[in-house]
Amino acid sequence: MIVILQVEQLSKSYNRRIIFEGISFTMEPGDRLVVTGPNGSGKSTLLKIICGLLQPSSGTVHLSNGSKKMDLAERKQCCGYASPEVNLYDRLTAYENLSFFAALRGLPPCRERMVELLKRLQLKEYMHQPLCSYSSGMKQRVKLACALLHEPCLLLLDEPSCNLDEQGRRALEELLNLRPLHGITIIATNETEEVEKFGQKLLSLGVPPGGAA
Amino acid sequence: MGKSCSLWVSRLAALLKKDLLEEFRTRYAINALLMFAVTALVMVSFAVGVNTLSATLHAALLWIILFFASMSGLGRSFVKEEEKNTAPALRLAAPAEVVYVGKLVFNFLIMLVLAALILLLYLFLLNPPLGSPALLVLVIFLGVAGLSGATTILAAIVARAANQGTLLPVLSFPVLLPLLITAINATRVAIEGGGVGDVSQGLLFLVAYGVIIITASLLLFDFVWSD
Repeated sequence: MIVILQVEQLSKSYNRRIIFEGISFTMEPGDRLVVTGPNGSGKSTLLKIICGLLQPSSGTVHLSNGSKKMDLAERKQCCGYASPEVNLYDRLTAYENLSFFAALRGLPPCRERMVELLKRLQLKEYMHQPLCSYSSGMKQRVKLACALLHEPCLLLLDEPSCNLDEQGRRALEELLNLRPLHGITIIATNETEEVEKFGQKLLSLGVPPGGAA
Repeated sequence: MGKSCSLWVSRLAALLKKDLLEEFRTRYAINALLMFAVTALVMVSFAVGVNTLSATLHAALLWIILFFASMSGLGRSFVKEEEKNTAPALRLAAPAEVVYVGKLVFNFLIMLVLAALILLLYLFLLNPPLGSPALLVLVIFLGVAGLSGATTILAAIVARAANQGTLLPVLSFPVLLPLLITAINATRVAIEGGGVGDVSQGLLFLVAYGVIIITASLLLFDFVWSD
């Protein structure tokens, strides 16, 4: 599916504290955006608003497929999202987690795709072990697999290389390079290396009024 | 229509399978419910001793144990999703109504198993007269359905609050009071040996309560579940 993302005059505040305001940008198919900014500047909040997990204080987010604007439920289905703040089920194995989210997203049985993703992330040997026995880096890899599972047209990654070793970072880079050409990718990070690698477009969020959180 | 219906059912089945698998591996809810039920039943059994209780007291004791057992375990269904930060992933991947129905079916199954165990233990420890066993099973089935329906939506509300432990029984009590009074009355009739005809209005009320609470919850759940 080919989509266009339009963010217009987006603002968010918590208890009268403004996190960010007046953010506008448009992303065409194939665009990659890296969002940077100091702690408390609202990088994670912006990603949550774009995928529909949070409501903005003002402004709009539109994901449109041709001339048709998607509603919130359709936007959520189109998004792949991974964040250090969002966990998977640690009593289930990596394979069970992926199967569960594949079924929730209404994907047809896709064992080969799941195994392929886990293999690329060097998790194939561990895929039948529960997540509670994984290291933080391995859990992060499963989160990435989960976000990429349904080949989302809008991929949102919050600190994607968090807890990843060099091998994991290379696997992440490979997977992002394998994304469909028309897919939109937004990455929130402060890693200079990622900004240089993935930052086709750059959005720098400033220090919020009143200082960092 | 048929395709969307089968998609809905497969999502529901996936959610139910996930919850059962997690419960099977941790046994958190079933252990919490069972420990409470056994402790309460043994205490009641010691307190009653050799005294004979009236049918009304038997019915009230049984439903008090069922009510507090459900409060100690069913609230976890949503609290664990929020505490372990798995709720956002669920919010993104599944429609709200699938989440509600999945959790409801899971809670209902857990409560049904537990109610059967509590009933057997109650009969063994307190030995009440049992006039109409079939009616008693029917009353408990309908009562547990209403109890699960109300507890599931209230657990979703409570999961986002700070004092989750005490909030669920406090919030649930006024909502469940009509159900509990009707169920206690119908259970009394069953213990005394009455038939379905003697308690038909009560049974109709239990059915209506379940239908209303589940329908209202389905309509309101999206507001509770989403930001």
